[in-house]
Amino acid sequence: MIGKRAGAVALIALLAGCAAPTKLEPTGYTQAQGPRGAGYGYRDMDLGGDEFSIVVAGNRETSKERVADIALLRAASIAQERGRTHFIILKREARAHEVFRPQIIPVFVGGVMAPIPVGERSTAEPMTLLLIRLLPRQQSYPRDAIEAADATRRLADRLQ
Amino acid sequence: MRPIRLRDLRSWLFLAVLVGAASGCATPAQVEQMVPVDVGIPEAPADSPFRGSINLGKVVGGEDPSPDMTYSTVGGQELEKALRASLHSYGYLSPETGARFRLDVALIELRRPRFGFTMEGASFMRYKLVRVRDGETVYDEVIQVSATKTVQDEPVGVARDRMLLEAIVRGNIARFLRTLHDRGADAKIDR
Repeated sequence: MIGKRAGAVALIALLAGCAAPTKLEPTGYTQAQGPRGAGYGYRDMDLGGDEFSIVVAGNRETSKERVADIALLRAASIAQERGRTHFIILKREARAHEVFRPQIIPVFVGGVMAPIPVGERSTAEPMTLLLIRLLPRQQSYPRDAIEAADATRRLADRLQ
Repeated sequence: MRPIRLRDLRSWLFLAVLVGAASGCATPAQVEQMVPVDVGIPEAPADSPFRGSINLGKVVGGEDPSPDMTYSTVGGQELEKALRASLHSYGYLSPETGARFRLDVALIELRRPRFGFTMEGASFMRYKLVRVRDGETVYDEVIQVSATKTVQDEPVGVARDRMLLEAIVRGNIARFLRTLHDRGADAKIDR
């Protein structure tokens, strides 16, 4: 009997994949943890030639404006970490990513709790992608250049 | 201490096998599954400036295998092989080095869930096509493609995850090939 119950629990896990905790606070200015594409926060990549990609994924409690701010703040931070004062945005993409979460109810059978899936609920999670290029230090900068220090000042407070 | 009974052992063994099957069989995305086949994209037209004229340059953004093998990944080598095979299949890859165009690709993001019965994923890949002669960038875009996989597609979670990754990368490459085909007819691109 216990074997059958344990088997049922394992079978549900097998079909659903792994379980993960749900975050309910809006995503903050933090590096995404875990495997790429599954966490919340920012993640960046050096593309070479002073170009970087920044991807920010927010949980369902996060606004699209907030993920855009996080991405811009991270871009400014990358520039400053590398001793640059300005950068330009090459590409900017925003989208809502649909996430399906199993709705599970615990059912106790003979004292053993078995999670029973009763359906799925989809939620939209915002994400933003930026491609930036750091500018070399120079006398003057193009009009569309963003000053890293200024962006940091404006956004750090807003994201507190 | 209570002696272990054969019946208990059988139960635990059954559980261990199932959990092992669920968590231990994640494999990297396969090259051949990331190459678009029979997706309605024509080969490079004979008069396309890109036909047989592209060298694959830098490919970045591939992932290391999952350390605990609980999720699938797109490896850098596998991605490069899939891109090369795709360009070759559709007539764009130059047979020699020193081609007119160089294509740099970055796998910027693979958005996907860690679990779920229905899994939606999205890939974001940047394709930068540079004319080697003068270094001018003739195409530079981030292509995003989404796909959804359900239990009907694949009942096992980790296998569904891998299938999803392969689909969103394959779809992304297919979208780029379509763009290459369409841009090939663009008169503004200097031959």
